[in-house]
Order: sequence, then C-alpha cells, then structure tokens
Amino acid sequence: MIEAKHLTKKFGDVVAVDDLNLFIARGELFSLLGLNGAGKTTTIKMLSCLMRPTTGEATIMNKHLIKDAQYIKQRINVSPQETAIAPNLNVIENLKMIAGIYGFSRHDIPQKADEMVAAFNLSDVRKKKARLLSGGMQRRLSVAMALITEPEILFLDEPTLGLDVIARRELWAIIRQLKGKKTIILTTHYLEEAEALSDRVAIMYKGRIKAIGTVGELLDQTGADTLENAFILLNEREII
Amino acid sequence: MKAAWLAKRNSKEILRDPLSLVLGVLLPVFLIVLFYIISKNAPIEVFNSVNIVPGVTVFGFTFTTMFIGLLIAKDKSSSFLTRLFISPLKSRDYIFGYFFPSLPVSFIIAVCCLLTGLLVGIPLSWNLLFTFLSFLPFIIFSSFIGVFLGTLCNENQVVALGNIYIISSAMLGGAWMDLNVLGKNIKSVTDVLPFSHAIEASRIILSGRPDNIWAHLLIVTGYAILFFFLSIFFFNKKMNL
Repeated sequence: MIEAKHLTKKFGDVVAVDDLNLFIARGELFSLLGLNGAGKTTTIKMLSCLMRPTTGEATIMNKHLIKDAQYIKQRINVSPQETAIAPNLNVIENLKMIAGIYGFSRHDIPQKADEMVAAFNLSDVRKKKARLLSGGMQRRLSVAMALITEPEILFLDEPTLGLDVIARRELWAIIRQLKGKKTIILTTHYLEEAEALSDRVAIMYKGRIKAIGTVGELLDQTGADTLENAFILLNEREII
Repeated sequence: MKAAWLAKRNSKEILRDPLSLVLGVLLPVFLIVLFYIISKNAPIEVFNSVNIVPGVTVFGFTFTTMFIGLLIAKDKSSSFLTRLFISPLKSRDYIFGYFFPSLPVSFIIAVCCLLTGLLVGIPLSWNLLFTFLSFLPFIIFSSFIGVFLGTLCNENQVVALGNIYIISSAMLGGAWMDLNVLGKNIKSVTDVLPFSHAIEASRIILSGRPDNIWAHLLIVTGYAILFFFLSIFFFNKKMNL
C-alpha cells in the first residue's frame, strides 16, 4: 500500500528525515512516534504529496509519489495537526465543501454529508458554525472532513492533541471503527494512544526509524514492560 | 467545478464576517453622507457627489484587499490550506477560488455606494452602469493584491500592510481631496499609482465630462495584470505547487 525507499528530506543543512525505509500494508493502522522534531510530520507531509523528498522515492497504492501525485491525492486525505476547518461555515457546509472539492457529484454530496454527521455524532450541531463548536467537536469535524472523500489512506497528525479525556476516547472509538477498512497513518505524542490503536508502531529519532514492529515486538526488543518505557529506553540510548 | 466550491466557501467566510459589512459597506456609505453634509456647508468641488461617490467607492474596494489577504493568511495559520493542498485542486483552482469572492463583495460595495449617491444628488442615468463597469479593473487589482499580500504575509503583517495600503490609497488617490494640494513631487508619485486613475475614470463617466477615460483605465488594468501574475507566481512558489 505504502512503500518508502531511502526517503530523505533536508532543509538546508538540517536533515529532517534521514533514509527512511518503510512498508505499510492495506488496512493497517500504523503509528509514527517520536520526540518533537523527530521527523513525524515531515514524513507525513512527504507521503501525502505535500512536500517533495530531497532524495529517495515512495509508492502509494503502487503509484509513484511525485509522478502520480494527482491520482494519489484523489485517494488519500489528512486530518492536520491544527484543526483545519472553515470557521464561518456550519458543520454541514464544511463537509459539503470538501466533498465538492474532491469532485463528488452535487447529487451525492448532501447524502454523504448526512452520513458523516450521523457517524460522528454531529447531528445536534449540524447547522452550527464551526468556530462555535467545542474543541472535541471541531476535531471530530476535521476527521469527518477527511473521511467524507472516502480515502483509501487516511493520515491523522496528532488527532487528539489538546482534547480532554472524554473527547479523546470518543475519537479513539471512531478510529477503531475504521481499523481494517482504511489504511491509517497516525502520529501522536500519547503513547497509550498508539498502544491502544496501532497494529504496528515505528519510533523515530532525529529523522531515522530506530525501532519498528508491533507493540509486543517492541517490548520484547527493549525488555520494557510498557510502550512508554520502551520509547524512553530507545530515546535514552540515542541521547546517551 | 472544484474551484467553485472553494470560491463559494471563501465568499461565505468574508460575507459572514460582520467586519466586512461594517468596513466594506457601512463605512463608505457613512463617508458619502458625511461629505454630502460637509459640501452643504463648504461648497468645495471635490466634495460634490459626482466626485466624492467614485472616490469613496474605490476606497471601499481597497477593503477587499484586506479581506482576501486576511482570509489566505488565516487559512495558512490554521492549516486549512494544508488540507486543501492535499486535495486534487490545481494551481488555477486556488487563484480562482481566492480571487472570486472579491466580485460579490465589490458588487455589494458598488451598489450601496451608487444607491447612496442617488440620494445625495447623483442623477439617475445610464452613466451609473458605465461607472460601475469602470470599477472592474480596480476590483480585479484589489483582489490580486490581496492574494499577493495573503500569500507572502502572516495575519499581523496583512493587517499592518493592509491598513497602510487602505490609507495610502485614499490619500494618494484623491478620494476626498484635490491631489494638487500635495505638491508637485507627491502628485507625480500619485500619477504612476492606480488609485487616482481608478477614481478619475469613474468621475469622468459619472459627471458626463467629455474627457478620455481609456488612459486612466489602461494604467489600472496594467496594475491588475501585473498583480495577477505576481500573485500566481508567489502563490505557486510559496505553496510549492
């Protein structure tokens, strides 16, 4: 589904992503973990056609990341780190706009928007302007805007950042429902989130993948009892 | 058409912001009425309705620059543009999507100003329609300079530069003053800028004077074309399109 070979991104002398090799299977929920500046968001930006790699290459759905960008863009979507919604449009208008931008027919758009409103429990606020929604609802709308285009691959960049525990658990439930149906690439700072949701996890440090595998494999590899401890151990080894 | 969805969204974002109504419509209408009252007490040529209405209308259009610039700057900072860049939209879709909202906004400004003009002494005639048409090059210029500013600046910078631009356009365009009082040197600067030409062309039409409007419109059109290309160039460059 997603294959990256020697993917590297440099900003001047700074190497943000360094020789990244990766394979993510169809329907997998794959988490990228790392400290700030580890290269998670840059990796997502490259794999979502938002940023050209300096060297290396990648294929998404067997299509070339650069040459077939238009094909890929039609079939992926992202929920960015910041809640990217149109503030003066209401919930239903936000959903319709994104569906329209992705070329869905005017006939299908209202039905698709209604489906998303129901799936994300936004019925009570469907006519409310997005800027007036709570943080949790805005984040749910942001993910719904990514899913209304029926992407085969969904990038979730820190989807629960800043949410309270209830809103976070609600979003987890939605993400769990997508497991197996969509290929999901998740970046997060919350290790319990990665542990609860992921099929596999990669831990990045200074642009490189330092460990990759299921949570169980990472625990075996490091001898740690939790993913958090495994993460700390892997990062300490690098820092020391 | 994918770009139409973006244009529709952008139009709604601007038109639903109360500030657009206050600055774009109420302020120009208030100024026209204010200058009308002043002209009753101080009969100065530039305060005549056929002079003040075009001046204030063009002043009103400069707010669309701020509206569009701020919209793009906000979309950058909120990652809304990131969401769009991952979509299958093409470069031309963005330019159309961000340019288009200036048309309904400017239409509302022009209609409100010209209708207010009718109340303060402008005679009802076909000249009103031609005056409206003469605004088009400046409306296009205002929109693309907004795309240009929004692309290169953040929100705070757009507000600061936008205010300078709006005040400068009013002062250097002679919206409510005779430019000759600024002296020969400053007058020569105003002659190479589009503001006074946009105002003068519409004043000529509205007053029915037999002067040539085409030289004025050509200069404004030149600026519109220049900023059309500059905004496309910098938008594509800045956004890696």
